[in-house]
Amino acid sequence: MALLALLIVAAAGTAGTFLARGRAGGAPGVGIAALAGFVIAAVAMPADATLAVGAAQLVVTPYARLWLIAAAVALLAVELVSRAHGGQRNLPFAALGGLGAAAVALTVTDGAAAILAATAAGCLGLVATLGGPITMPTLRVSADGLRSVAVAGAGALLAVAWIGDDAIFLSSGAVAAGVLLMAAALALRLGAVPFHVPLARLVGTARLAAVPLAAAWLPAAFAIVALGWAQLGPAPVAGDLTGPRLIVALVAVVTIFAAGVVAILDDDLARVLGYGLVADGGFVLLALAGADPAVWPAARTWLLCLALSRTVMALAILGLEGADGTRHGRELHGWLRRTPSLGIALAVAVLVGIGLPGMLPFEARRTLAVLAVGEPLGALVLVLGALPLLPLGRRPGARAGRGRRSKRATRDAAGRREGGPDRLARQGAPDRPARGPRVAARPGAHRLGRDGAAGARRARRGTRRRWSRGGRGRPTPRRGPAAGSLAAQSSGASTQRSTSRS
Amino acid sequence: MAPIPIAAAILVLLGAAAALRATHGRLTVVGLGVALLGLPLAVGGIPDPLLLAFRTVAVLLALLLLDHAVRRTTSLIGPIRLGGTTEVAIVLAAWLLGLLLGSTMPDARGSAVALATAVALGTAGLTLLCFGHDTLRLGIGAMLALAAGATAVPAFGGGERAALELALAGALLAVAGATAWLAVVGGRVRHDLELADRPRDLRDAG
Repeated sequence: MALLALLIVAAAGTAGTFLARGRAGGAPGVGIAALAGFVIAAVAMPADATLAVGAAQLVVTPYARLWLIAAAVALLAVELVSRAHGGQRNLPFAALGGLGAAAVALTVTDGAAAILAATAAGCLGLVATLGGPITMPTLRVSADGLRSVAVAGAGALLAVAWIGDDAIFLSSGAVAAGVLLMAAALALRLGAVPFHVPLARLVGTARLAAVPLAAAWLPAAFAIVALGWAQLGPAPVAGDLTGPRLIVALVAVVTIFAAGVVAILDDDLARVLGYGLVADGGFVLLALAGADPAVWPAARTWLLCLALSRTVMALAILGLEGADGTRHGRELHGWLRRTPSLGIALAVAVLVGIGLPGMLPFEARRTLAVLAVGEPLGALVLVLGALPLLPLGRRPGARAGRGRRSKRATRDAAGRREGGPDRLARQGAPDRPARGPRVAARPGAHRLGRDGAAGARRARRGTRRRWSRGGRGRPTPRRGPAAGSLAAQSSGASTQRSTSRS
Repeated sequence: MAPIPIAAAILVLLGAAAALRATHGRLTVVGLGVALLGLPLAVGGIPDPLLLAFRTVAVLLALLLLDHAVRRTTSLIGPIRLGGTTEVAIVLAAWLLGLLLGSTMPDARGSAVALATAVALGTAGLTLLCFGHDTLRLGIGAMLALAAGATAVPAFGGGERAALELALAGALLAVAGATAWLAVVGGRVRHDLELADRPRDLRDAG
């Protein structure tokens, strides 16, 4: 009955949040209350609860209970933090619907039914990506997500059908085909190379608050179901599958390597989060490449750790974006001094996502890597898998304005010292455009809107017409602009100073 | 071969052909409905009446959701990329291939008609997912692909029928809900169901 209560809470919460969406101020309270209710129901549920719906059996395991509690708490935290930063309208609806379907997927005893439930959860989770201002790119990203979820679900179902209940009666070639089909479905759902493009677009386009649900927790639920099938289905003949295991291991290593390298080169922290998710998917694939039974508990541990780690990381990036108005690493000079709590959050994300030797996530990753590709290469894969977290440590404590800057940023800084363009820009509009010169943004600058940025651009343009480089880079006034022009009004102070100096 | 599964399989194929070929949104939804409602009979065996009723209600609800989404926007949709007729021919070929495979497999674990219907429906779903460029066809393709997967499991002799039917009903409702949401939201952006900037018709590519 406890499992039934959990499912009723999820269904009622989904319906309640859907109905409350149209009412001003009603939806946040309903969503938070429903998610909190789901947490309570999951905590209260015994670890051996069962439910029979006709001939279908749902059986709770300790891992499923732990996963549901962790997912519900994480999504409640995402909802609370996103509310503080403007909110994500559909998140509670998608989270409760997705969690309810994931609860069925993790507890139902039939493999094909579990895959269908995990696919349903993925479809419901995609609604979260439609919460912000909708544009055609957002719409296409959601449509691509639906396409990926459906194709992955259908592929996994075909693999389950192909292998059937007893793989022992099949030839090793037939089992290999089924395992490869399931690996392809898993790679598609987790965004591993070469199916990484929909995930990368989703993380880059959708609101950040939707990413943990749509790209971490629900794909993880699908992966748990798929790996559970792989553990029970083709496992008896797994020793004969050297070829398929090699292919899956190769895809996983290429995924981890590519995601790690691209993450180092990129500057956008949200995209770095996406590359991290791609690399995490590679580690999950390594579980299918390992023949040792020890990979299954390690994979389950890793699936919990990856979702938790990426949720904390998404929350930290959301906080950074809210505080500094940017999520570009090079524009976040000194963020650790300004917002030390976010530094702690990122440290937690690193500890949960990578860990230290002896810690659960580290040992899970090490087990997956070593059992799949052997000892020396496994250690290399372990190091490569940590690369997507490196950009987070980019100049956390540096003062604003220090370090390597672009030519334009240096020129603007020089102008600022002389009371030139940037000073005018500050007077006209304290913000700069999002893709403008790379100097540090001030907290809250993003809230000033486009008019401020446009004013700053106009002011700079007008002032550049007036200032020319005379002598050794010292700006000298040209003949002034027409009285009453924007540049004349805004550069009054500096012109006066230059005149008095001369 | 039993006549009921054969008749149901033909009904399913007609529904899938309508979903592929029609350029009117509501007709596409009707085609999907025919395919999904006829599918349990094509699998073979008499399904549990309670399960059949549950699945029928879920399919009707899903159709209602899709119809609501189509009505909210323009109901006309462009042809699928290869024109529709080509895809129908591919699906028919897939059905015949499935029938041949099912009849000649040495360790056949299920009925050949069920296997052929699953292969044809899966082909129709994947065709719509790959070549469809509007929200409605994308969702219909997803529903057909999942239904085909769920049909393939008992066709190969595996799975627990009751759990599978219940999970399929839930999955179809979830896909229909997400599709309807996508269509309604997309309709606010550009007043139709189109996803591509300029739909390409591959027939003109040469």
